[in-house]
Order: sequence, then C-alpha cells, then structure tokens
Amino acid sequence: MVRSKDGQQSLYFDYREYDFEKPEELQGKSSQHSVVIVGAGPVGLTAALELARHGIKSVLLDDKNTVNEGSRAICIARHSMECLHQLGLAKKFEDKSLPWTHGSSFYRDRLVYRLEMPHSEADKYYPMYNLQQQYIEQLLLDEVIASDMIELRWQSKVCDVEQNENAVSLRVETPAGDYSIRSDYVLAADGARSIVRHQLGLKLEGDAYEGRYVIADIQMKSDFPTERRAFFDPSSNPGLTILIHKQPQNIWRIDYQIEDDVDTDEELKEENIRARIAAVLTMIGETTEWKLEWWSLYKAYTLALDNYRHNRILFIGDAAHLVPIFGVRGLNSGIADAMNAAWKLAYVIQGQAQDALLDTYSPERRGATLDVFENASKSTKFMTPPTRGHRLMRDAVLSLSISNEFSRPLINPRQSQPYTYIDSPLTSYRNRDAEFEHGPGTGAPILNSRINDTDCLLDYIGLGFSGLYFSDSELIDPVVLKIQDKLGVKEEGFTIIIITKHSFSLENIVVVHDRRDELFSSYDAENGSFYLIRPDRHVSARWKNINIDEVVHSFNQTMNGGKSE
Amino acid sequence: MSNQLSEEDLEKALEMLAVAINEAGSEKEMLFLSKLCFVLANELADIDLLENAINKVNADL
Repeated sequence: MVRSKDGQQSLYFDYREYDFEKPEELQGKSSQHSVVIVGAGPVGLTAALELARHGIKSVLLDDKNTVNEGSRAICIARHSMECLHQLGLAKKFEDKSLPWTHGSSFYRDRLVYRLEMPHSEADKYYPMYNLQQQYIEQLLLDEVIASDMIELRWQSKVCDVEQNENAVSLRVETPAGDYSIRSDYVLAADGARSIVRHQLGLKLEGDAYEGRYVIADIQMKSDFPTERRAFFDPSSNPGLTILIHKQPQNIWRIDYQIEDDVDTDEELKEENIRARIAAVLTMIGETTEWKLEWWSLYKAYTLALDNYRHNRILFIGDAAHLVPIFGVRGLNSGIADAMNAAWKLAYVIQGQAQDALLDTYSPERRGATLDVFENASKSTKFMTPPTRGHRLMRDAVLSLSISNEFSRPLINPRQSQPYTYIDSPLTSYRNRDAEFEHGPGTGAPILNSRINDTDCLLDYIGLGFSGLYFSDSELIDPVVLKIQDKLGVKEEGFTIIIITKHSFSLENIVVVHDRRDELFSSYDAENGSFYLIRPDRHVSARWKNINIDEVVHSFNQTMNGGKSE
Repeated sequence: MSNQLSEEDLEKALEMLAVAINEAGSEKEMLFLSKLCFVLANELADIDLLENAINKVNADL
C-alpha cells in the first residue's frame, strides 16, 4: 500500500503494512518482561535497538500497523549519526540520505547570511543529513524486525497504565481483544499525545509561540544543492518567512508561514497550498513541473515534563518534551534520550549498576531539553517574531546585515548541537578539565575523528565503558592494560583503547595507530592522558596524566548513580 | 570601529530593545527610538562616528 495525504498514493514511499500477531498474553501465557516500549516511532525503535545491543530484550507496542505518515522530521544531526553508528546503521543512513554543511538566509530576496557548519576532513560524518522520517523509521524498523531481542506488536494500543514498586502493568487493546502486559520498566515513546503520560495524569509545561507554518513536500527535479534556505519577508510571502530543504527522491520541503488572521481550514485547502508553493517556486527561479506530496500545519512549542522518570516509567522523545522545529532538535533530542535511557536501563536490569543510575536520566536529558529551549526560543523568535518590538528589531538586524558583518551572527539558525552533561551527577573530577586546553570536556560527547581512510574512533569504542589511553611508547603500564581488574568488571564490560604515535600491537588489546596525529591533537593529549568514556560516548572524566585511583572512583560513582562510594 | 559588542551582548541588546519598544507602545515607539538614538549619539561623543552610523543605517532601507 502506498499513500501520502488523506489516503492518496505517495509519490515515492511504499508504506508496508504489518500483520497483527496474537501475543502470548492472549494465548493463556504470561510473563513479566524486562522492558516494554510504548511507541514504535524513531525514538522507540532506537531505544529497542540500543537495549538489544546491551543484551536486553524488549516488547515494542504500537497502535498503528506501519510507519508514521509523511516526511516529518527530516534532519539527522552528526551526533545522531554517531548514535546510528553505534547501532551499526550509519552506513545504511548515509547511503539513503543527503549530507549538507551550508545554508543561506535572504531578506527581501537579498542574501544576508551564509551558514557554514563546522566540518573538516577529520570528521567521519557531516554536520547534517536530510532523510524523510518514513525512511528513518523503515531503516530502524528493518533492524528491529531482524532482531530476536525485540518483539514488535502492531495494532496494540495502550489504554491503561498502573505501576507499583515491583512492576508496571499496561492494558492493551488489540484486534483480538484486550490483555494486560507486565514489565520491570516502561519506556514511554508514544509521542506528543502520549497516552502513558495522560494515564499518569502528567502534563507538559511551557510556552506556545506565535506564528503558524504550513509544511509541504513537493516532488521536483532540481540541481540546486542540498542546503538550508531561509527567506525573510520574501516577495512571494511578504512579511512572513519561508524555509526550503532538499530531501532524497527529488522531494523538496517548503515550510511557509501563514498570516495570523487567516482561516486555517481555508489555508490548508489543496488549491491554496498549490498557489502558495507556485509563488515560492517562481521566486526562486524553479520552472520545472512539480507534484504535491504531503502537507501539515505546524506551530512552535517549548513544553516539557518536570521529571522524565516516574518510578519504573521513563519518558523519551516527544512524550517528554516538545521543541520547535527551527534548529532541527526534535528527532535528534529524542534519539539522544533513547540512547541515554537504554544503556542505563540495561546496566540496572543486569545488576551492574544501582537503580540510582536511572535517576540521572532526567537531570541529564531534561537539562538537554532546557538548553534546547534556550536556543530554539531564540531561533523561533527570529523566525516568527512574537511582538511588534521583536519584529522591528528582527527586521533591523536583517536590513543591517545586507551590508554589515556585525549583525549577521544573529541570523544563525543555531542548528542542533549535542548537549554536554556538565552538571550531571555522573560527571566527576571536573577540576581535571583545567589541565586541558581543548578536546571533549567532562560530560561532552567524544570527537569521532577519522583514524585513516576507512576507520574512525567510534569503530573501536566498546559496548560498555571505554578508556582512551594515549601513549607515545610501546611500554604500557600493566595496570592500565588490566584496568578491568581494578574496576571489577569483565573484559567485555570495559574496552581499553591504546592510542599511540607508533605502530605496534598488543595481544587482546585495541591499539590505534594515530599516524596523522589527529587524536593526540584533537584530544589535547600527551603521553599518559586518559579519557573515561560512557556507553553513550559521553566523557565521564579525563586526566592529563592517568590517576588510576581516580579512574576507579569515577567509574564506581557512575555505577552508583552519581553517589560517591 | 574597534569597540563592538560580543555576539552574546548583541543578542541581549536585541531582546532589550524589543522589550523596550513593546513597552513604549506603537504610538510612542518612534519617539522612543528617536530619543534613544539621540542619547546614544551623545554618549558616543564623536560626530564623525555618528555620521558613519547614519549612513550605514540609511543604506539598504
């Protein structure tokens, strides 16, 4: 079956429908599962895959029988691509998506700002990739279906949620009748209209912004490169704003702001959407034929739960927070939520860490949300000024930027950046940061530098914690080589990676030859420097010269959920 | 001009001015902005710099 808007055929995507299968609970059997994930969107699928990677089985419930309709979130940031790398999926996403590094902003059809996102040959991945959400979900879904660690149940709608100190119980409606499912933990990934959130009586708190956008996809052949284009007060949409993005399969996203006083129903009539798009295409000089694929209405919000953990239920993605699309932070925040929650759940379920580790999920990811709010609020105010004063000042900045450099940075759309867990209970020895002039600091994600033409650092990062030990000698302290003994973990639970300026090998130890001096340089490392890396690639702590006792203390503090031994 | 605001302070200035314009209200915003320009011109204390700024703002109107 294929479709786009209102049951019409999609021009490019085949929406496969999946069969409902009777679960064990409807066949007289019942067991308590480790994790149930509610919602098989991109965030729920990512969480299931990350749990599976850590050896945790999960049941994934979704009330639909196919992927979400429409292109929706189309921008995958570099840090999300690094998550996908950890899941073994980055190559598939690279093959399907369009990378980009640049953007242009126009005021009354004159270029006023050129966005250049940092990117060098040392970076494995581009700062941003465009890919329709249907493809994002399908690529994740194919991997989920292939996994024997994940049971995906379609047409399974959660209608009731209860929890006690031992388990969560969900009531599920299906075509074959209702049943109850019990699990140790629940990940609520059921989106903006989360039923789990509603059942717990929780509400998102925050602000709604002025301005409404029609988000439309068209199919059109054009050689224009992949970049973000923003038009302020353009001739085709006077006084308002337009965004244009290229997607794979000759699909173009055109977001245009509509006037505050227009009737939404009228504006969403197909003939009116076609007229608006035709005007935009004329303005940008596109004269080829085009077809309308999909459209939706959008309004910006900054809303979040006060706490993302409620006993045995963790909220991830849009179920926990809604962020404005400007800056492409919705999907990318959700993927980071999923990765953060999944490794912590895995460690607690496997008895490697205390339950308190789960308490660190909310401060870390809610902290990330508040950071997103701060940046997204600025972007949103610039895209859709909420007051006359903001509008006058925004236009002043744009007008000045035609000929003046100083005001142009204010036009920066502040694209999604990974969050540094600087205030997290899991970060330790922050004073050691002062020993470094640069490199990824405590709480920051590691830099995925290229090591040679084919390999990057993430290829060597382990499943659990990792330690990067920098050495300019072949003689490595035996304590470093056997650090797992000090930490009281099995070898597979901690990967020690020796980064060296010389070419040599060690039995059962990962040795990375930094022949380009890329890693030593980007990590500001010297002989003996050490980075302790969490399973989600964030730095727990770092030392210019390794201090084994502090490494052990830092590791144990993480396992204790941020509490000192 | 060597004395320029940092990007962070430019952002703050943008927000402060937007709020101040709103507080002045649409009927008095022109008077507010004109008074603000005159105060800043006096504090700038350099008639050539003021003329430069006027030319800069006049361009691309």
